[in-house]
Amino acid sequence: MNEVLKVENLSHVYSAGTPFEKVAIQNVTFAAKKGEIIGLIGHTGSGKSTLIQHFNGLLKPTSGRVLINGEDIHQSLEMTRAARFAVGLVFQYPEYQLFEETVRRDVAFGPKNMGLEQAEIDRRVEEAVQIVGLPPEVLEASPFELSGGQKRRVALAGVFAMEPEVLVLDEPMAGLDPVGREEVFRFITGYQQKHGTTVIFVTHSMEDAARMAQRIVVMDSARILMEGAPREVFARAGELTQAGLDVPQVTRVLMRLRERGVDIGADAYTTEQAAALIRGQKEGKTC
Amino acid sequence: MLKDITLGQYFPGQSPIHRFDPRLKVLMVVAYIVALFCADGLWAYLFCFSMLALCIGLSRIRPKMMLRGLKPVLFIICFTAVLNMFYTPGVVLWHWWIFTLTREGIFNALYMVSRIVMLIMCTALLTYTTSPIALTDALEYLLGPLKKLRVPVHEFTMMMTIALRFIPTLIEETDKIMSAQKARGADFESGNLIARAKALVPVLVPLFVSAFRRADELATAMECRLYHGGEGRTRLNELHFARLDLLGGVLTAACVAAVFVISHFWA
Repeated sequence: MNEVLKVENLSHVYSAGTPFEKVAIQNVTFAAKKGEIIGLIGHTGSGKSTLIQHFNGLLKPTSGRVLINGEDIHQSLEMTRAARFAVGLVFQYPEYQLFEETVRRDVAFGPKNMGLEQAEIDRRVEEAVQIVGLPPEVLEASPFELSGGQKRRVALAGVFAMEPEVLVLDEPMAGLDPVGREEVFRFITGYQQKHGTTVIFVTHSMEDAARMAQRIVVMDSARILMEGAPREVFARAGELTQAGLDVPQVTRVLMRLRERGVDIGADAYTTEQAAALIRGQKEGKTC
Repeated sequence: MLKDITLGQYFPGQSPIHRFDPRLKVLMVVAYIVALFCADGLWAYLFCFSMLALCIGLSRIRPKMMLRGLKPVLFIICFTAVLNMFYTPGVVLWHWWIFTLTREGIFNALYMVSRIVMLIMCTALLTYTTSPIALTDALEYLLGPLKKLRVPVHEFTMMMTIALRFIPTLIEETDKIMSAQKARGADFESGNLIARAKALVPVLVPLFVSAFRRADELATAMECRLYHGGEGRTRLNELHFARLDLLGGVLTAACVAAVFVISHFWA
């Protein structure tokens, strides 16, 4: 039983029984193993955001079940509340939810709601702030004085401090510059390695999905279209394009090269992999 | 919960009621309210009611929707009914402690309640069938003469337009922030009144911050498009007084006159 999080035949219908009825997800079954990093991709409106809000019980399924460590999170109110803490959810643009007078108190909001001891709260807050690379003196500053990038880090720290078993992030890098993206990428992987957390992240960037995820889940019009290792998913470029998605830029370059007769293979999804492929090709020729 | 707010709700449509000039509609509602307050006697009330029923029928708004608009004033309606029933002097039917039920009281209560119900319904019909933009445009026209008295009419109506425009946006924003704080374990549903009020701080602070940010952005965007107040400003959609409006106006005037006649001469 190493499936931390599992959803079974999950469906969700918004405004059921009114003229505005809309099926957001339909019969989705999906499981996440302990310590796994999963990338969730899909076109706008494909149901990704609705799906992830089921993971911690914010939305109640119209039909189907959500299981954490094999237990249905809607079987009792206590379980639903426990699910909030077991699954840490970071929304899009989380910097807009900061509200406290100091960074320390804002990051402590989650742990405090969990009912932890003050010493434990302090330890977690300091550790979380350190993981996101903020200097300790920021702890006593007001979150509203910080820059946009720093606010994003504080918001991430607020969820890291809850030390959830599963970390779910909705477009954690949206609206950041390349340096900011790189940093957020490092914090998340850093945190994941330290705690062995399961990470599920939603993204629109195929590059990020290829680079971070061990497994990619593709959603299209309320269903899961395909799932598998990046290699398997990006090999089906045609289907991805039909779902309004794409393959990473590097892969596209390699595919075009192959069309023009320069075949160095097309199964590279990050720049590093492509570089290795090309290098291998070159050495093969000189030998 | 938040989605149930009907304030300023608009149901688009193509009925004659929808197509009336918004200025005329506002005037019609004012005339109707005057008629309601002048009405006296059963026949006058019945006449007022049939006018309203005709308009609701023409507008094709479902009666259920109209009744939903009454929900927020239910308390006032009940309060008025009780007060009128027991505190109108007249032929005593029943007496207990400080309560005296009179025949006149029952009639008064019925009249007052139907007056309030019709009043709310006719204003609800106005907002259901007129887009907020058209409504504020109409108000700007109608309050135009006040500009002579240096009342900043344009600014007031612009503020109203913006406020109405941002209600759905702010509701959506509130939902989002509440979800985000719930994900961090915030609890809005349990505890006593003080605990619940305190629990709203994590929602209200980000909401205010974002409202101010939006206001700032909107102001910048308006300035970028050279907005400089009402002076010399032209409209994208000019309001036109059409033949249908003339017909509607004349009919309304005739009906209001009829209510007067029924109330004061016929009875």
